[in-house]
Amino acid sequence: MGERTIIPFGPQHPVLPEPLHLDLIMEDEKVVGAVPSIGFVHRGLEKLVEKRDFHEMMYVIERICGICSFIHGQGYCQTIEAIMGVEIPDRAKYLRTIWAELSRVHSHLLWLGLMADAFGFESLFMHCWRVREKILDIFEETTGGRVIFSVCKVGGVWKDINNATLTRIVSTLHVVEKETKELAKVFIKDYTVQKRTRGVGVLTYKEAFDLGAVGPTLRGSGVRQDLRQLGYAAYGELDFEPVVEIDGDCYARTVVRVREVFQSFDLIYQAVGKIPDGDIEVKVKGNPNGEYLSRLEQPRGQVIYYGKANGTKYLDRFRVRTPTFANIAPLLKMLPGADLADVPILALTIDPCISCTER
Amino acid sequence: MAEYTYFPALPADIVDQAAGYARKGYRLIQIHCTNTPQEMFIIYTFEKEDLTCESLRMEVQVGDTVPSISGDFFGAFLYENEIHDLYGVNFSGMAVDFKGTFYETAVKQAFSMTNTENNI
Repeated sequence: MGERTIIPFGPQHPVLPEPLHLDLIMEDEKVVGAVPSIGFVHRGLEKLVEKRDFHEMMYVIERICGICSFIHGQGYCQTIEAIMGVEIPDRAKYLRTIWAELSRVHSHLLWLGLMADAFGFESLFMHCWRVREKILDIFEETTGGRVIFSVCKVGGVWKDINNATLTRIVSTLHVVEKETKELAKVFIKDYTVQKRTRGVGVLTYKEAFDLGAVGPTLRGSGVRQDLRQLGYAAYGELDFEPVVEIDGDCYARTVVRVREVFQSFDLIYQAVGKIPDGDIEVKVKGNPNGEYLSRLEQPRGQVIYYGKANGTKYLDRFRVRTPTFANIAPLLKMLPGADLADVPILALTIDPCISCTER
Repeated sequence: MAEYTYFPALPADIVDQAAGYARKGYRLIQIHCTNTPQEMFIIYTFEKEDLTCESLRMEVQVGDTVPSISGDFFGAFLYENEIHDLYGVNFSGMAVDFKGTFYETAVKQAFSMTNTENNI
């Protein structure tokens, strides 16, 4: 056994896009243990439910994160709607589904770019983000925002997308899909990528499930679980199967995200083909009273929202359990046995979003 | 959307109840604390692979000590440290005890206070 040393990794590190700190316990070049630290920028946004009424709070919840913003807003609205017994119109459900899947595409393309940068493929990084720009353009055209959209509301959505625009979006996505296929070849087939990611940070099926892993981190270990299977929004009327890989390593988690981008294109095509005409919101009367816990599938995995209301316009409690928070314990299991040089890539494969975690 | 059921729990029984969920194939997906001026609860949520979900609800007070369930569910220590730092509930036997340094908050136990107390 070599001499043990502790290497502090992060929160400020050239390869880390987020302020995550790990105390890496090392024997020579091998990691034998890790202790995480977060909480450097905890904002206490959940506490604002005492000062912002339940309609205004949607805009606060969207600002938890600039990448997952839409689904945070959607999850908040779904929770309040469940407490109030509000059934939103079908068209609003489809619009939420389309925006949510566009969010997944842009989040995964962003992550693939960061991953490419982490293993030294700078051109690939720029191409991923170049392609992603077209998705942000769609957001800007349909919502007015590229990061924060503010289109969800309790009772439906604020804005409609007319059918001609939806058709044009599909045409744009066909182009994006073609370009993404070219990029995907590198992530899936390139020799260097495989050398850096195959067999690194292996998380077994049982470890992934027992430790509470979520999203691509869970499905990369073979667990067939995707919260969209619950059928919320319009997912109950669309055909899809969870994307699963079985190796549980960094490569598997990368491939899951690559395949999920194409799954999202397919879901958007289906949704555009089936979206019904009609209203996009229902009038919401009164204040919520009761509690509800809802689960949704963010790009990074399962997110949990809990709301507790008291019949006034201010909630007693709103809680967000973010995917990254759930993936910290699995990360601690993946790290032992890895080389120090692999830690940046390994940490990146849980797609850490500290902004979400420090809500 | 799925409905969720909350079953009652007591601090003295929580470790056994959690172990029961582990034996039945559930995993821990979250623990959170919720308070009103009248009452304070910790809610544990467990999930099966088929996405069925159950929750335990345990009444607590600021300063209480509750046994950690990180023996059966390793990831629980993250939630328990969070509740300790934001609500002032103590947990004994956590897999990793940050001793109040998990969140660098300007106000200690900020979430356990009412609006007036923490002057927001």
